[in-house]
Amino acid sequence: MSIEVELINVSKKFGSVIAVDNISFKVYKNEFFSLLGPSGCGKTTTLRIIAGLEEPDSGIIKIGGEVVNNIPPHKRKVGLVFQGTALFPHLNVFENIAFGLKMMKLPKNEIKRRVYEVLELVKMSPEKYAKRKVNQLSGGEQQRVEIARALVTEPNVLLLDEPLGPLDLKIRRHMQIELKKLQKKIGTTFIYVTHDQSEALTMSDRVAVMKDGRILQIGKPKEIYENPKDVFVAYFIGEANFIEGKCISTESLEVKGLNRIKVKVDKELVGKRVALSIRPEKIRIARRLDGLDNVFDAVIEDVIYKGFVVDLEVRLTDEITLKVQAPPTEAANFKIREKIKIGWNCEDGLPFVI
Amino acid sequence: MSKKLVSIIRRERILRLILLLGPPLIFLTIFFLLPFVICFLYSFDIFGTRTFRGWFYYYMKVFQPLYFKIFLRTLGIAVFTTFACLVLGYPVAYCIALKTGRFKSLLITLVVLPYWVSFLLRTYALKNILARRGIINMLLMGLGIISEPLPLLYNMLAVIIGMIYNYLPFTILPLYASIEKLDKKLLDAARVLGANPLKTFIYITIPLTKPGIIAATILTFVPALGEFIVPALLGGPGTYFYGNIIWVAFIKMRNWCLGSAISIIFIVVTLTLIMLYSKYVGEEMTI
Repeated sequence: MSIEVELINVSKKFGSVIAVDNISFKVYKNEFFSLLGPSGCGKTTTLRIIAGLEEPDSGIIKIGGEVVNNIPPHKRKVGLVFQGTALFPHLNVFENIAFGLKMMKLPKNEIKRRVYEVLELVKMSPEKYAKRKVNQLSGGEQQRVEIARALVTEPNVLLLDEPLGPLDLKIRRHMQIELKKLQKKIGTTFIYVTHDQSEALTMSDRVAVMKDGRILQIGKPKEIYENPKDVFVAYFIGEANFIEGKCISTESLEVKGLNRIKVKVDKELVGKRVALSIRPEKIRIARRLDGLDNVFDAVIEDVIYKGFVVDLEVRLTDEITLKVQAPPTEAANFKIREKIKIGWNCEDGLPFVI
Repeated sequence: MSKKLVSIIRRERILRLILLLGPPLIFLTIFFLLPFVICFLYSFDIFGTRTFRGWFYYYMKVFQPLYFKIFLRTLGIAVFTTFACLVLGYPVAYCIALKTGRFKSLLITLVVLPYWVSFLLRTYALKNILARRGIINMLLMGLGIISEPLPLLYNMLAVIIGMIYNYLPFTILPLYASIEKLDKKLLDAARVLGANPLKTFIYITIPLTKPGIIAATILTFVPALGEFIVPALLGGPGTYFYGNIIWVAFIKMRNWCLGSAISIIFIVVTLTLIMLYSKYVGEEMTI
């Protein structure tokens, strides 16, 4: 696979605030790559650096194998979809999409052909929408026009900065799937910035989790979810319970007020304090439980029925409450304050040194 | 006020409107509308203050070549001043609004600062700068660049300098307000779509700040057209404005009828120009 975008030791400060702290990563051709992190983690700045809208203090940016540090944004041939809408309010849908083509000085009929094509691509009928004013469009339509405008110049890389942010949940889910399909269809490299972990997991080929200007982990969605390399990644991606304790051997963890927890940890961790991360859906809950490595008594504190799943909060000790997720077939009739058994296998608990 | 009265006022919309709009309406009627009507009547010599020579005698006079020439000159200088102020003021407004960060409000205060001093004083100060033995001439002579003082004062150049100096802030403020509101994302979007900085400016910044440009134009053009102090203080015999003619007619010639006729024509022309301008530019804006 050839590399489309590469960042090498890129840093950027705003005043005394370090926005991007010595990050390096590669994005391959045709890949859907996400930068995921909480707000203020430097993901948008990273995107703007790739687009050429911010100049890095140090480091090298390569697009298509070429160093582009000194190439201004209008010559970088990347597409950028902005957070919220950045459609030109004084131009209609057609003129907005045609803007980039006009800058390329293409002939009029060519411009028209390509604008109509790209409108079809984002599933907007050109006859219906071409002459519309952009402020007459719904949020979802605006976002489609924005994507169309960024794609029409056929950039090698499309940068997307939380493009679905302002949309409501249902349209958002729908657009996520559509975007993913679109990306596979046209084969453009996508770099997608989001703070929504489910969005990143749904759409991406690979995800880079960022925090405080650094990349904590890069990997396929499954790797990131199942094997977080960092306690923040475990915490940020999906839901996780953390139980703090001390490793007394490679097989057991000592926790205050609780029987020893069976774990599987590396030798280096023995004697150290760790946080054991357990996903809520990995914890089994029932009135009777057998065949699990760890089984504990617990008290149900809260039951939240969500339709396809039930979220429970159970108290393990005075200090530890755990989030548990169970199918409604098993958990729908559990009552608050009911005494219950919970359990999990030792490979479901991931230890992080703290 | 009794409780009953208060409740009546609260209930009656008309009464509330009258109470709110009454004072300004009375003021404007006495000090604006009434003088205007008097002026209008005088222009036809309705009061018979002078030998009656026909209803439109004074209007006919206005169309004499002398008045017409001065009218064209006034129009020309007002247009030029407005244009020069836009060209000079836009970069200033742009930089203050987009490039100066936290110094923004300080810098915009500096733009307005001269207005804390009276208009007359500022124009007199300018006179001292431009005079034969003024700062500029003394400096240039001291440096040996010129041997004779340059004729900077009492001519058209001085008038134009004075006009631009006095009206520039009127241009900068509305421009600043509209550039400041500009969504910077749109400029970034244009850049990434392949527009260089100049094209971004022409295709995005200018069209989107058009309301500010229109406001700046009207706020500069209208008072510039009616200006008479600057040409009176800085200009020479060949730099009379229409405003000066009105002043001469009323004060020097004591011919109120002539002065009124000139004023009425002037008001009509100014209003027509502004209406045409806002209609033309305003319509283009909605495309």
